[in-house]
Amino acid sequence: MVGPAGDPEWASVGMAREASAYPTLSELVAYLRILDSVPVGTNIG
Amino acid sequence: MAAGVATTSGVVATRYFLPGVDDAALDTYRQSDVEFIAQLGMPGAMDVVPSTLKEAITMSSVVLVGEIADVRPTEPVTGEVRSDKVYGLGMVVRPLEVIQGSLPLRFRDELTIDLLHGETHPASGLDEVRERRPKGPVVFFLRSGEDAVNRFIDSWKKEGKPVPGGTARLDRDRQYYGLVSYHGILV
Repeated sequence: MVGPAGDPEWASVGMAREASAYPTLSELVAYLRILDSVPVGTNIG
Repeated sequence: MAAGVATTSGVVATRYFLPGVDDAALDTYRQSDVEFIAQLGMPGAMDVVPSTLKEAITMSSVVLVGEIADVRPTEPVTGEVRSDKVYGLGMVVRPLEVIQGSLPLRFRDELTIDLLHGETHPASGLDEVRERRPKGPVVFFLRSGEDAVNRFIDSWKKEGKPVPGGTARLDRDRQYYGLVSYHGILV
């Protein structure tokens, strides 16, 4: 599981839930690398 | 290594190479890394929770893999009264690979993530935090201080308001990166 697994609340919400579906960090990184249609930095608050 | 590249707009862009990261290093699990990240929780300081990874990317200037090379105090934020200070803790990151977005050349070797610490100087616990930092590669979703400051200035100008707080605070913020969310750091 990816993420701070010591925090039981972490994987229960938002992007953490999606990230925690990847069993390893390399699989998550491989997914992030191929996302080429996401407008990076368009929602900076 | 860096190389200047002439573009059609006449601006010289710079390309450079980062060390890269391999899957074995990414997948080396350390419970201590997980505990370190879990203990970074700062109630109220970063309570934005992107609903998806794609949304987190839109909130980021850059998504990268890096190693936490050091932990140091950052420049404190001073209030209207000089004794009124909020201290920050800086995670010094050595970038290994940019996954999404871009990283200016000046941050190629090192960037600092500014984390709110509190009203006391972080020096007393710094050695322990430095010792506990994750030893392997970490994925970061980061908003650059430069982008955040520019966004603020644009919004103030649109509203016809003067930029509050003077330039010192803005100059401070420009030198750092911030996590887009408490969830924006993965080990």
